[in-house]
Amino acid sequence: MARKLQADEWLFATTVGLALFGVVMVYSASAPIALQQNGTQYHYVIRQGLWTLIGFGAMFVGMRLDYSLLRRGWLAYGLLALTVLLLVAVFGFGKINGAHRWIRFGQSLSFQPSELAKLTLAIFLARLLERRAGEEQLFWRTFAPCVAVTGLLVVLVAGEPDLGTAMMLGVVGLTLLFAAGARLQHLGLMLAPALVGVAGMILLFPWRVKRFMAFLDPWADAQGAGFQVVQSLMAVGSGGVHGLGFAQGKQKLFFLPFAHSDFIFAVVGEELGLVGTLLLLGAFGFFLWRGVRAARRAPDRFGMLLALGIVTGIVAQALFNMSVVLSLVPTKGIPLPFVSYGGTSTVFMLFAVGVLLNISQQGTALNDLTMLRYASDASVIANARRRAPVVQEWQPEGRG
Amino acid sequence: MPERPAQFKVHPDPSRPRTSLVVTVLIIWMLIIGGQLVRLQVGQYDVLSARARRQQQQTVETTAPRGLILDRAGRELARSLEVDSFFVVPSELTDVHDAATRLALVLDLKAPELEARLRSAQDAKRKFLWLARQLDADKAERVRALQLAGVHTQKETKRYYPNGSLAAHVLGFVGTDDAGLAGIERMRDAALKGDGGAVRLDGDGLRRAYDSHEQAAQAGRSIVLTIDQNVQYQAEQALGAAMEQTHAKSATAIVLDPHTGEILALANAPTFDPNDARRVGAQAGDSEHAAQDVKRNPALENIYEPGSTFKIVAFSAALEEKLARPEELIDCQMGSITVFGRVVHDSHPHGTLTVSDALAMSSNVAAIKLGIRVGSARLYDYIRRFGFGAKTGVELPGETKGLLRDVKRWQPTSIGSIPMGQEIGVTAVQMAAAFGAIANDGVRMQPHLIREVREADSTTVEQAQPEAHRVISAETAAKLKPMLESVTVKGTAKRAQLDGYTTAGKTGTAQKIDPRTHTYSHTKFVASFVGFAPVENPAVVIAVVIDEPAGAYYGGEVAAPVFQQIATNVLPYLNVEPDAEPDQQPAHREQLAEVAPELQHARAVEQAQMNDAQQALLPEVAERNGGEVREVVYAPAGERALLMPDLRGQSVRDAARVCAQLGLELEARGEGRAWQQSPEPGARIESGQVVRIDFGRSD
Repeated sequence: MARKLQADEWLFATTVGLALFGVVMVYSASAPIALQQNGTQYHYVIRQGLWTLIGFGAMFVGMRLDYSLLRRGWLAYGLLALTVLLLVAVFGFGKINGAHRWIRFGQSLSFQPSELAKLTLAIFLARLLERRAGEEQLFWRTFAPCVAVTGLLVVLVAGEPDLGTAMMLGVVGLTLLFAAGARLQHLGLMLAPALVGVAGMILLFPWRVKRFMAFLDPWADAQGAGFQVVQSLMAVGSGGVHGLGFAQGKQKLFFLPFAHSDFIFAVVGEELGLVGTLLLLGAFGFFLWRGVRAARRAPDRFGMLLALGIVTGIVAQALFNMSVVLSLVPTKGIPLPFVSYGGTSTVFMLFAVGVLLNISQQGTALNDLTMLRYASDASVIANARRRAPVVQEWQPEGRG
Repeated sequence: MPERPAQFKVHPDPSRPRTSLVVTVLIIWMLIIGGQLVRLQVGQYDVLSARARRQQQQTVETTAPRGLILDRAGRELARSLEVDSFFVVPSELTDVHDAATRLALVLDLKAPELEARLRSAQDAKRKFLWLARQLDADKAERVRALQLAGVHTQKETKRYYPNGSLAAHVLGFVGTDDAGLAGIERMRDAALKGDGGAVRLDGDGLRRAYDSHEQAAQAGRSIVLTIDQNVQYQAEQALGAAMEQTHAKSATAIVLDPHTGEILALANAPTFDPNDARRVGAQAGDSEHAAQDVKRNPALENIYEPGSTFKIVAFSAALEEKLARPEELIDCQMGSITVFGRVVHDSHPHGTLTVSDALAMSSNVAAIKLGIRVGSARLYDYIRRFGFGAKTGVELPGETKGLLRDVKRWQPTSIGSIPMGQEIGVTAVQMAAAFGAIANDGVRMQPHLIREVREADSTTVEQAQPEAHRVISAETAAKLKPMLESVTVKGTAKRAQLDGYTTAGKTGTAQKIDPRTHTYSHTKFVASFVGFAPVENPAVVIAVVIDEPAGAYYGGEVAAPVFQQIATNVLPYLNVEPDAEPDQQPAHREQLAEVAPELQHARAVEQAQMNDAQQALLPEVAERNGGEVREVVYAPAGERALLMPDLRGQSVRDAARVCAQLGLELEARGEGRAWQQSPEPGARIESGQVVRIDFGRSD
């Protein structure tokens, strides 16, 4: 009798832990600004709590839903069409913080289509690359369509402008093409327009240049362009090894901008110290390991690529966010997955992890599936494509 | 790139190694982040947390109120008041021209100048500019009433000397920053200042303080002087009168209790008002040099040749060493003696006198002859024992030890000069202390000004412990006293005689050395008289030194009357029993008796003139007491009893001054103008009594 399939509980636990930790940190980081703006220090934490609950629901749905459904053509194309539509629709809404990023419903509910774009891209590319298995090296047949779809989403998101998320979309696209086996020369070609795009952006929006310079020496203009970074560095630095203690941070008191969203890692650094930041970094490292493990054990190429897209998307975003906070890269507004305040981000990230868990659930022993997933033999691929939804016996952990 | 045809060729799938590569890249990225975390949170922790603290915390230094300076009876000689200072934050000024115009009006400044100052501060992006410091309450109120944006107030303490110039040279003064710059204020600055505190404000990024931690300032200690305010006043009055009569360059008087070494008064003329110390010399015509001179303390900074007053050393030594007896005859050689080729003259030629009379007549010849009998070495020894050639240790800055050459460096002719007070430089304090030794049966008490130092809560932390050492035997002192008494009875100091008290002392008249020619001047003299009374059990030693009197210049003519005036007023005040028959003329006696309350009376006059508000009430009080207006208000009703003045309508400062002058302890509540007082005006009060006054601001 087939035993009940079980998802990777470590991955599950890490994600839930990170999300709950996020709620707690959002409370600490947002209490002053919430009290100031909304008259109650719980304004943001209540919302984040609710979104996290909804996110857990979404994760559960993603976990129970057979990920193979996502391979359906109508779903992949429909999702892409919807994403593009929403990304265009964003421009119909007013700017917040100088960018069109949100579609708003009423007063307090809003939706960020760029978060949806990350998942859409991973699903679409994973599906396309699976269908082109063995043809990854073909430029027009495989590479060009993938780049076209990635490029479309990147341009739309970058136009909001939301360079950080656009970059993440680029990273997901690049990773999937690379992992699937695209020719390195082709990938090199892809970098050219990316560079042109970045250069154009800098020319069109000169304040970005200033921001870039600020990253090289934030202290030179600590009151101006370097302000965010300087405040962030002071927060992280003053945490020391042990931190000031939970909720004891001072930088969130209107020194550090976006303390509860893009710069929440700085609050973690200040309040929980090196111990806290390294543990959080380690948690994402653990997430990476379990996620890639799930990808490698995925029963098919779609699952493998989708899992990889989800994992790298989340981990790369986390690392990028930390790098911004620590002034390793120029400042780009991008949330720390699971931890930063943000409804759309939280829900979609958790749903994506749900999908990842479903993939891990269907994974089988590595050796059994090597043929299926890595075969370039057309017949094997054809078989794999027609393969019915897998119902397999559960494999005990730690066999690989 | 050309499209290649699909090939169904089995080749190794690159996904696995490529996935590993992606993971490797991400792990390297994590390691970089981890490294940066260690760098920031461990390596740069000190720098970054310090920077964060700097923007999160603001420390405001607070100063403790400076301690009081009290006289021996606890009357306030110096106290600190809280006053308002105003500063400008230039960037907050909206209309500089308007602000400058309105401020200039209130502050008595020139509007264009003020405007230029404000504008240049604005241009220089200065964040802070003092506008006016330590304003009095009225002006402060008017500035506040302007309600100008960018003009802020800060409480500062101002040192206030309620008695004006009284004891200025003893008290000294402070600078704007409350640091003692002279006198006791400087000498005991650390004790008076107390420990400053600090308020640490935790502020957020919007510059709002949300928490504060205060480290309380430790209040300064109070210093109780040996000075008696009334004695000091008498000494200053007498000096002032002498200055007027003699047109001297300066004058000094010291009143010393010989049994304890306590200085009851140390007065110099001319003097200054420590409330305005900074402005002294700033007035037109005053050179910087002259201003400095006024603030110096001649009593212990000026060296003068003592002249005949110094003869007590040679006479004491001769008596102590049994080389002479008071009744022994000594040939004064008709006022002329030759010492190693130098001829010394007496001012009046005398033939053979007793040793006692020789002192009374101030014979130089006799002094030199006694000096020769004692010999240089022993004489030098006695000079040192009397305290000359060394600092007395009185608690004031700038004391000099005088000029006394070591005996090895004496010239052969020195023995012809030093016994009569030449070739030696002394200070008035040294001289007073030396006479104190004779008055105190041969024991010299170290002169001192500080009685005790008290903590703000009145616990005593330090008490005077004057050194005492025997200079001459009690028998010698007992012999010297009548000899010195005869100076006032039949000698050079008849004008030092007191009514009702026996007096002893010695006059001195020394020529000053012309600094250009290094010879004795024939026009510049230092006249002095040092004496004590009553002779048997002296209550006070009084030293009077008059520098460069114009006209009469003999100590007996110029300095002795000052001694007389001070002693006449002070001895009854100190409750010293008269030990001599009163003078034959009763009228004179009565006149003297009236002088004692003069202090209060004189101040009554001053006060009555000073305060308009009070004058309105005076007739009423006068009627009730059935007397004359001015005398009634402050008329002495008994030994030390007074009538309570009306202080209503006065500022805290003025009320404090009046109370300090009358020796009343003020318990002030509130601020602004006095509206209620206890006791009622005209009530009988006593020195030292507590007076409660409520202050308030009227609309």
